[in-house]
Amino acid sequence: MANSERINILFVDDEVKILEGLRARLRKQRRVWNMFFISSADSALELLDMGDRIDAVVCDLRMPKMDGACLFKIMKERYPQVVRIMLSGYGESQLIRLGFPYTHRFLAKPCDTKLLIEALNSVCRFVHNVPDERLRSLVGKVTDLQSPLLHVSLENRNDCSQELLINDQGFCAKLLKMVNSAFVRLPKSIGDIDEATKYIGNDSGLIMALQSDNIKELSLTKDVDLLESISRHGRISAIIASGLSVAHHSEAYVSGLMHNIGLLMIWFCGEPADIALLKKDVSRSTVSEEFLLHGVSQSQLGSSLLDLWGLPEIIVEAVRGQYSTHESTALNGIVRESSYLAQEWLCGKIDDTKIITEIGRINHKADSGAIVSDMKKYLQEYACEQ
Amino acid sequence: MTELEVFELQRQLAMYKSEVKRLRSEVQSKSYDVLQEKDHFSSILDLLPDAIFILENDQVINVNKRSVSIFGFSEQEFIDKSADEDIHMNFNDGEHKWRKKDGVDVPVWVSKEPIDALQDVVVVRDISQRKKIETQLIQTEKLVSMGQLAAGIAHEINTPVQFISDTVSFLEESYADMNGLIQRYKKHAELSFNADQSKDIENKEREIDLCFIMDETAPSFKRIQNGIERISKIVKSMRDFAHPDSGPMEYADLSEIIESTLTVSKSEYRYVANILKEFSDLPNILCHVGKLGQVLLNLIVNASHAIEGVSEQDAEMGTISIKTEQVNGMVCISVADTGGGIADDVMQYIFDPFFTTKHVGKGTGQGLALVYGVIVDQHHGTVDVKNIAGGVCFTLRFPMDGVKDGELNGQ
Repeated sequence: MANSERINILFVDDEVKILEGLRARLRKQRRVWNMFFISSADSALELLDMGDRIDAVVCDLRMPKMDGACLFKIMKERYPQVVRIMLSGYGESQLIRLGFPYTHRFLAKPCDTKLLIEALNSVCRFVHNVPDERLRSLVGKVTDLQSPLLHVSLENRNDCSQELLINDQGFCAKLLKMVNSAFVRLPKSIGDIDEATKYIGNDSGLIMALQSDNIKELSLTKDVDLLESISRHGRISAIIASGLSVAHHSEAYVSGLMHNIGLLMIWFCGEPADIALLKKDVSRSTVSEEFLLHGVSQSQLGSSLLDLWGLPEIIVEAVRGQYSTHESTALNGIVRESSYLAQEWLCGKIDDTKIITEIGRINHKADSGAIVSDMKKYLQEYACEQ
Repeated sequence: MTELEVFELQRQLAMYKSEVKRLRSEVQSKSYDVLQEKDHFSSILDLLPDAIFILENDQVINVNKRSVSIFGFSEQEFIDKSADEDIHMNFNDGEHKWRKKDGVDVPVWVSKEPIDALQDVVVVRDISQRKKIETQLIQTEKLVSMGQLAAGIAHEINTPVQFISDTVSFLEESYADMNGLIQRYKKHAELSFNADQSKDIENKEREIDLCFIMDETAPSFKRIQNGIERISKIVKSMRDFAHPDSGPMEYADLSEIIESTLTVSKSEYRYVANILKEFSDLPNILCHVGKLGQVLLNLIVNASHAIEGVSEQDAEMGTISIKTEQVNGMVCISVADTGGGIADDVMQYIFDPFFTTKHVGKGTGQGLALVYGVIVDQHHGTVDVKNIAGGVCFTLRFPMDGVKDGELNGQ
């Protein structure tokens, strides 16, 4: 961060000795960020009310009077641009469930300082890459990107329902957020949907936390066609990306699925003017340029969210760099190609045979025929939902 | 009297005689039936598991066989005892202690019901078995609440462990920084000091034993970190054990569960046995983490006790071998020990609830019953036990990915 000022981080915990220990431990980071320490949620809100700029709040879940979940709920309303990181101990599952929608990242206690520093670095990247506070507010407002249409269709069918659910962009992002958080306490980060569902298992508490309340989005005058075209593009890109990848099928799938999640975020949390701009762009027939909202690309918005939510770096970078001309990772290229191919195929500009050739050209080991039949199968299922 | 009247009287007499004979025969037959019934009921009373007393005017007139066998007194002795005004036999409803003929007290439950105005029937039940189970239940409840406390205690310990760890890291870094600064001071000072000043510094260095400090400080910090890690590990294992008993199955790392159990049970085996681990590289298995931990805990504790039981003073340490592997989609865990094995006549009872060969206070007899219940019923697996060289080996097998709903009704 050569030119920007240091970010400001507020630590909140009722145990003063914990705060003092943290301050000592993070001493070496003082050149990277400014740290402030406060011992109650009430005081934290007062500080925010005073108008000082705070970029992230790291807060203990269990606190007297106002707990962390309650604080973050209020902060999401009033100061959505502030990143919210929660520290929680074992056995607080009830509170964790309550806090899950409002928290960007859950870290387990006792806190692994390396993980905390990583999480705070993602905040640095966020502030650096999205300098516009209004856009950071947009990102901060996002809790749940699950398609409200999906909720409706789940009531009608029960056999393919799980299949549809775990392939929904929003649900998938939420699932990976949960699995990469203190809920599940894994030593490595998870970027594989199947593996993630295994870790959730039959835990009713976790399943409840994954429930979506987005049905109410339908009753607003929101453009459902726009949402559908974004979802379709994401899903088809995911199928193609997985096929194009030689080594990282599951991460490629997730990257493809998430590549346009920035658009989804705008649909859910943007101003009506923003959404109108988006609609105009999506109906354009070429996808050579990326959609920019107030100068920030949708890939930057999407990847920032995934970064804050703790998804693996390989996926975050694949989404962030999909339009970059100098490829930093192989996945960038795969995401870009699959997004392009998906768009062309969905508009009917290239047909099945052409796409089979294209896929074979990029990855000669790919089973192009199977990939295309998957794509068609998805469209059929999706169409039946209506 | 006329001849006809005499004849008539004779005829009637014969009729009455025959009638009497018939009635006598009927009475005999009925008497026999009554005696049969009396015998029948008497047998029933004798077969009942409880002691039955018949009282008339609050005195014993009759007892069943069981009264004699439980308490050791004969029927006559009971009758005499109740007639004796000095001895007060407590026939009131409720729980009492009665003394047997051999002087041992036995807890009983007494229940008295009137048969008619004069007679009562008293049922006296020996409740010593029930009392024993109640004691064990109380013990179990205590353990359960301790388990719940353990989770809370674990959480409380985490807070100071957290700030100790953070502070120590800071001190370690600061020491290294200060050390660097001192070296730099020395570098500049050495050039400008005169002989006296140098001597003064040397003396001070010797006084504080600078060499020792330099050598020992870094390892000291490592020791502290090591201690903190051990505390965290124990706390985590305790937490894993306070896993709620109900709840769904989940995927978990078997080696971690076993390590956790070994941490928690260390005090049981550390002086008597070495642990030999042979873990295969297994993917996560579907299981009930808390219960599986308890199963392993019971097996390890049993193994330790067995080894302790057969070892003599200053003998070599025994061995507890724990092996995991995967066979045909089933996970296979074996726990073997060098504790002398299980006697053949005892082998068939070891999984029975409350069966134990341990001394009072050492075991409640529920350990293996729990192992059986958890593995066979809840994990749809099998438990095998066989004596091997020098000890016994328990082998648990159950499906790695659980059982699909179609194959079994529910889980």
